[in-house]
Formats: sequence, structure tokens, C-alpha cells
Amino acid sequence: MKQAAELLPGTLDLLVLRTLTRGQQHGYGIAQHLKERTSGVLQVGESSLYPALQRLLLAGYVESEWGASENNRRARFYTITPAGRKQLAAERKEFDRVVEAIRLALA
Amino acid sequence: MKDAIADALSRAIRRFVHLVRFRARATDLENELAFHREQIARELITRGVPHADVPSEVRRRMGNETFMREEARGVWLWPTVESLWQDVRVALRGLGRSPGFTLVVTLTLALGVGANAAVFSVLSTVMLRPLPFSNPDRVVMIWERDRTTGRLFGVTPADFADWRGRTRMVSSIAALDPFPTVTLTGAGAAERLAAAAVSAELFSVLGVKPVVGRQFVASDQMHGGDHIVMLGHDVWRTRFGGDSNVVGRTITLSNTPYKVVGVLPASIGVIGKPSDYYGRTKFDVWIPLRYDPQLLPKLRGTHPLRVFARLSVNRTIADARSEMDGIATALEAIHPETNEDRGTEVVSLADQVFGSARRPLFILSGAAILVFAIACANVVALLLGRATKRTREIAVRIALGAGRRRVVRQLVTEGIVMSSIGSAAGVCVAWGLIGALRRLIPVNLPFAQNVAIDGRVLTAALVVAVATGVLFGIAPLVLSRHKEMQQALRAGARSAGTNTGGAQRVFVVGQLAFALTLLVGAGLATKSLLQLMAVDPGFKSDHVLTARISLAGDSRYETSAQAEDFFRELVERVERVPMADEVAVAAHLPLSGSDNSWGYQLEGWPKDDSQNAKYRPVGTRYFETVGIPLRSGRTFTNADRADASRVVVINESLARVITNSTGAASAIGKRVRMLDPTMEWRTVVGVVADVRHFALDQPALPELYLPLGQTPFPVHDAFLTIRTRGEPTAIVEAMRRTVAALSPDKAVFDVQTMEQRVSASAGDARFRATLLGLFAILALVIATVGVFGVMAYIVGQRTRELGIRLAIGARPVELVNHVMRDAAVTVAIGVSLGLGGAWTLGRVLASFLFNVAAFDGAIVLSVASILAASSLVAAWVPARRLIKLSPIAVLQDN
Repeated sequence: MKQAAELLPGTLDLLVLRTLTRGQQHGYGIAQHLKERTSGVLQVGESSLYPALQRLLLAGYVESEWGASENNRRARFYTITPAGRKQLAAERKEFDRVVEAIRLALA
Repeated sequence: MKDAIADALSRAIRRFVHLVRFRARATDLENELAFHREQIARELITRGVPHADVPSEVRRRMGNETFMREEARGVWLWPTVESLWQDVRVALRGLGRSPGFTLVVTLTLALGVGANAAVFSVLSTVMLRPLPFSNPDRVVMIWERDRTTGRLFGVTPADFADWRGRTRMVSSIAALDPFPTVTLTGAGAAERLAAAAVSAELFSVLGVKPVVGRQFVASDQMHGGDHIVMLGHDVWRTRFGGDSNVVGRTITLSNTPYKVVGVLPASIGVIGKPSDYYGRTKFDVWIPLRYDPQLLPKLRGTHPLRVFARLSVNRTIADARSEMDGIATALEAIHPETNEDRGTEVVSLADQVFGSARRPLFILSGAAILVFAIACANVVALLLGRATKRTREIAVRIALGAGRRRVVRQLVTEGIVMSSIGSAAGVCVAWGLIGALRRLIPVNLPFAQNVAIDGRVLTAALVVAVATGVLFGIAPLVLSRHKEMQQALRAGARSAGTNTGGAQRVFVVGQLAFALTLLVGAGLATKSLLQLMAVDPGFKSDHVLTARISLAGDSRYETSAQAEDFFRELVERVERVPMADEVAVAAHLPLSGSDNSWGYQLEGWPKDDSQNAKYRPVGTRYFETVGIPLRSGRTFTNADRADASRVVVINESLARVITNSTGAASAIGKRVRMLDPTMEWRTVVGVVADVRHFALDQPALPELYLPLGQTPFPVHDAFLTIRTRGEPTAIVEAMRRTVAALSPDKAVFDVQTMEQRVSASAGDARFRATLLGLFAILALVIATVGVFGVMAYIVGQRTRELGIRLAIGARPVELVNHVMRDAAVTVAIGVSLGLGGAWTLGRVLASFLFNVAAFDGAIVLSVASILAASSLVAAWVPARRLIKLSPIAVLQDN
């Protein structure tokens, strides 16, 4: 497994929202998904994940409801909202812009 | 832009919702985390991690849960609130780490705020309440004044009628007779009510309108007219249920039917202050003032009336005064046998009500402000001391990149937190103090019963206290700007601060001076009180129960003989009660506030010559019951009845007047007569000792005692006195039953033991002494704390320097002495300055002191010693630490 890398500041919200466009998910599931998707490079710590989810709830980008997990345990599922999708698009654009600028500067 | 607003709005809404569902969210989070933990555990087990290692691995993976919970929760708080809350928590932790300091500052603030809130609440209730009349500054009271003694009296009915006819400077003038008492029957239990007989014009003088019904008009004052009454507001509510249909009803007062014509507003209790009405705070019923026009011109002997007037437009009180003087002189010429030396005094109603209270209350508020000033000075000094210690810390924090604003905010928060705690404690102190003050306030302070914490006052005190905290929370920041503070960061430099505590020393000197002043004041007031209580009142006050009873308005007891029969029967019945040793009645008791005087003539004096003496109708055995010693001759017996020869007993003062005037050896056998309609000569048969009738610190005046049956006017209101075997209070029930058995509609009232009356007469002095004592102790505590704080600070500042001295070879004891000498000088300066303040305070208090010099050397000396001693002890405590000082540790600490 590759070394886990530091999450770029400010990108956690972006990643969570993107994950949720794939469908409803609970907190653990989001973390697992990111780990698998990036082959272990991005490992979201619980201590940053849950506050981030609360922030997204406050902003109205996600909604939550309690349901049953795969193994029939009670878990809290998050869904992205239309406002969240809009925000995702905006943040993605911004992220691309910054990354491109860095690339240019490094070239 | 609109999006940003909408976004902020929706967030705000969600935050509100969150606030409501706070607990639910917390549980939600816990459940989520539990689920997450479970899933991790499951994952680990599937991966093959041994069961024993799973829990610790889960914990590791979960990370810092506490931090996370705080973060998660923090998302929902308003951003400023969140960091403010953080600041508050940091501040509290900081305070918790130095509990001694926190305690001292909190206590000091609490005492200062509490004392002030309490005193100014009293002040605002008692002094700043406007009188409930229209244009109250145009209303005056007019008293009669004895030109020779300057004493003020009520007005005689005939004089009032004359004034009314002659005055031009006032647009309306009215009188109030506060003496009638009536008993209400027929509507529940018999109840004795306080009645005021008033002229119809009183309502226009005061500008008062009834809340229900009508007020009196001139025709209601016709002698022989229908019996009508107006109800006071309280009685209307409690006895008649506040029913507006009470107008027109007939009620029975003292066995006579009265028709209710109106109800007065709640703001009218008594017109003036309670001490003008023997402590009464309200009249229950109001009846028209009526006189038989035939008798009226002769009524120049007794002075029952309180006279009120409204100044004419464009007239001043000086105008009224000079006019009344002229009228009084004219009356003196027309009626020389009664009105000799009878002047007038015109006083604005506001002055009458508040005037005498002003002085003590200003003293009080002066003391309170002093205490508050000392307390704030203390807090300032202590915070300053702590601030200099922290300048280094602040400088470091700023150097490390903490935003300046953030640091300021944190310091301010600290200051606010500390002063808020102190102020909250102060509110509790204020509550307690007001409760105690309410019980102590002498009844002659107006509105005394309404005293409660005044919100405005409390707010003001809190604001000042918090401002103090804020101001000196910022102090370290300000100090850190000093160049010298920057040096603190450089290695090897001197430790922070060249401040040797000069400013603080000044504070402490001031505190000590204030404390000494208050302590001396308290000492003077206390000694005055003790002297007062030590005065021999002239009678034996132990084991005597007293009560008032009134026959006024009862047609069965109108004549002198009828009244005397009733009282004799009453005394006989009460004598049969087991615990009663001696029983008697008297029209006026010493120290009860009740009094009457009359002109008299000695046989042999020129026809127009007369003097004034106190008029004392008493029953038989009175002197024995109250314990007034007989000096010569005899006291009254049952033989001195209405139809027997006229006799009087006089007191020593009157006896002296007689013996001086006649040159005889004894006054016994001489004849006097009162200037009453009968003009009968009465023989002196006995001389009794002088008593203190008015107050313990006022000497006796000549007194003329008459047997009840021989008084020129019937006695309807009297005191029943009982000398008891055992506790006087135990006989109260039996006494009430005996009175009720004799006459069911007569209730006794104002039941007190004689000792209570004596004690109450010193009420003012006691109030002063207690209050000053309270403040003095507060000041002592605060000043001592101040000394301690300053010394601790100075020792801290000079630790390095003193440590070096130690290293060079000084002995620890020398260091302590050096520092203590320093402290002693400060204390000495403070105490000396205080002497000046004490002298001033003595002058201010002089008029209230009894048998105490304004500058009492013994008191000053003892008080100064106490203050100096406690200050030196307080200084010694931090100085003691120097003994354990290690020079190496000091030098290393940089």
C-alpha cells in the first residue's frame, strides 16, 4: 500500500461531495470509498471527516437521514442536494484553476 | 451578492434549528461514531488483526475524538460566538489556576458592587421618588413654632381658622387631624382603623382626585351633618374587595353608621412622612373635619392639626413665611393668654418629607461611594500587579504571531469574565444587604417599606465594575508596548518591569486613609449609641407591657366621667389576670411619640403670665406601674375622682420652676391652674422624678400629671400599662381577651413592651452605627487586601534584586525587615492622611453624636492601631516568602 498523503487543505468538502454524487453513503462508507478510489493515497481521518460533514449540513449542501447499512446496522446516510451539486461544480472549477496555475508556475 | 445573503440567511436558519435540536444532534453524532467504530472493528477482524489488538487499533484510527466533537459542535455555533466561547474558557482556566487572586478580586468587587447597589437602591426609593401630588413643589406645610424653644407643634383649630381667613399668599389651605381612631365593625372581625379628619380643601391643595366616587366638599364640613367617609385604597381593596359599588354603602365605624362617598388613590398614604404621624404610614379612612362653630374659637390649647397649603401663583415660600409671621404676631396680640410666643414655620412639603432624611442618607451614600472607590482601586491594583507579570507572556504571544486583535480580545474577555463573576456575587451581596437594611431602617424614613433593589442602580454598578475589569484586562497589552518590555525577550536581560509599584502605593495610601475615616466614623457612631442606651430614662422599663386603646367617637364614653369609669373598670379586670402585678392607664407614655402640652399659671403670678408644661392625664398606680420614683408628697389614689378636690402631681423640673418662682422650699401645697375653660385651681400633692419623654438624649420638660377623672377634656385615647411577673409578652393574649370581654368592639393596638419602645427610640442612632460599622468593616477588609496585593506585587518585582543581595551576603531576615520597613512607611502615611479624613467626618457627624466628642482620642487611637496592625500583618505574609528565597533560583530565572 502506498504512503498516505496529506489532504490538500480545503479539498475535503470537494471530495465528500463528489463521493456522494455516486449515491447515498454513510461516513464510514465515504472514507472507505476515498481510500479505495485513490489506492490508499488519500486517507481521511475521522476527526476531519465528521466536522466536514457537519459543515456541509450547515451549508445545506447535503442532507442526512438514518437508515439501515449493508449489514443491517443503524447508520446515518448523507445525500447531496441540488445546492450541493452546484457547489461541487463551482469548487471543481476553482480547484482545476488553481492546479493549472501551479502547474504553469512549476513548468 | 444576493446569493451571499441568501446563503448566510439559510445558514442562520439552520443554526437556529440546530440550537433547538442540540441534544438530538449530539446523540446523532455519538451514534454515527459508534457505527463508524463498529465498521472499523469489522474491517480489522476481516483483515485478520488479532482480537486483542482490535480495540486499541480502532482507537488509533478514530483519532482525537474530543477534538473532533468540539470541532463538529463548533460548526454550528456562530463564528464569533465560538471563538468568544473559547476565550471565555481560556479565561476561566486562567482564573482557576490562581484561585487566591481570583477569590480576592471577586470578593472585593462583590463587596463594592453589593454595598453600592444596596445603598443607592435605598436612596432612590426614599429620596428620589416624586411626591404623588400635582406640582408638589408648590405645596407647603405650616407648623406652629414656640418662639422660645424653637420646637414645632401642630396647629390649633382656632388658629387654623384664623389663618384661613387672613392669608393671601396661599391660594388654598387645608388641615388634617390625624388623631381619630375608629373601629370598623359589621364587616368581618372588628378592626381598629387609623382615621384622618380633613378639610375639604385638602384635595385641591394636593391636587388629588378620588379613584371612585367623590371627594369632600365644603358643605360636608358642617357641624352636625351626615356621617360620611372616604376609604383609603388599601382598606378598599382588602376589606371591600376593591368593589366600586362600595360608594353609597353604609359602614359602621365605632358604632356609628357612615356612608361611603369615595375612595382615595393608592399613592396617598399619609401626607408627609410617617414620623409626623407617630409612625403611621397610611390612613385607612378619611372623614370630614368638623368643629362646633361655638366651640371653635376657644380651641387654642391643643395642637393636633397638620396644615397644608398651596402657594398662590407667583408667590414664593419666602412670601408665605413673612405673611404667616405677620399673622402670628397679630394673633399673639389678640389672644395673649394662649398665643404668646407662638410663631409659625413654613416648610415646603418636599423638605418636610425628605429633609431630615437627607443628611443621614448623604452620609450613607458618601460611605458607599467610598467603599466602591476603594474596591475598584483594589481591583485595579491587583490586576495591574498581575498584568506586569504577564507582559512577557503577552509579548511572546504577539511575537509568535497571535493576531494583536485576538490577544486584546482575549485579555478583555478575561477582564470581563472576572468582573462579571465579581459583579454576580455583588448582586447576591446586594440582595442580602437590602434585606438587612429594610429591617434596620428607622420608620421615620419615608417610603421605607418600599425599599427593594433598584434595577437602574444595579445596572450602573455592574457597568462600572465590568468597565474596570475591561480596562485592566487591557493593561498588560498597553504595558507591553513599553520599550522595556521588549527587552524582556532578549536573553540575559533584566526581568520585566522597572515599575516599583509607585502607582499602587498611592492607591493603598488612599485606601488606608478612607478605611481609617470610616472606622473612626463607625467608632463614634457606636459609642454614641452605647451612650444613648446607657441613659437612665427615669423609669423602669423592664417587665412592662404597653398597648393603646381608643374610645374616640364612641358616644358611650363621651364625658370625662364616662371615660374614666371605662378605664377604671378595664384596669380592675386586667389586675385580675394572674401575671399582672401593677396596672394603670395614661394618656401619654414616655418614648411613645405621644405628647400634649398646655399653658399653666402658678397661683400668685400676674394674670397674663403663663408658661407651658406637658399635660399628662394618668390613672391611679401609674407611677408605680411604670416605675417613676416619687420624690415627695403622694401619688394619685382612687379618692382623686371626678367629684373630689382638684389635685396634680408634678415632675422635678416643674417643681424647680415653682420653688424658684415662689422662693418656697417645696412645691407641695402650691396651686396651679391650666389655661383650660374651667380655669380651676389644682393643688400640687406630689413630686415625681423627671423622665425622658421625647428621646433618650433630650432632657425632661416640666410635666403636669392629672388624675383621669379631673381632666378638663375627656381622655379618649390612652395607653394601658401592665407591670408583669415574668415575660411581658406572655400576658398579651390574656390582655386582649380581657379587653374584648369588657367591650367587644374595642381593640388594643400598638402592643409593645416598654423595653421595645426604649430600644426603638434609639433606632436612628442604631441605624447609623450599624451602617457605618458595616462600611467600616468592608473598608478595613478591602484596605487590608490592598496592602497585601501591593506587597505581593512589590516582593515579586524586587525578587531578583533581593536575590542578588542575598547572594552578596545579606541575611534573609534583613531582607524581610527592609521590605517591611518600606510597607510600614506606606501604612503610616495612609493612617496619617486618614486622621484628616476622620476629623472631617467627626465634624459632619457632630450633630448626631450624643455624649461623644467629634474627635475622640481613644477611638482614633484604637482604630488606627487596628488598621495598622492588620495592614502590617497583610504586608508580612508575602514578605515572609523572602526568607525562603534562594539566590541561585532567582538568578537563574530569566
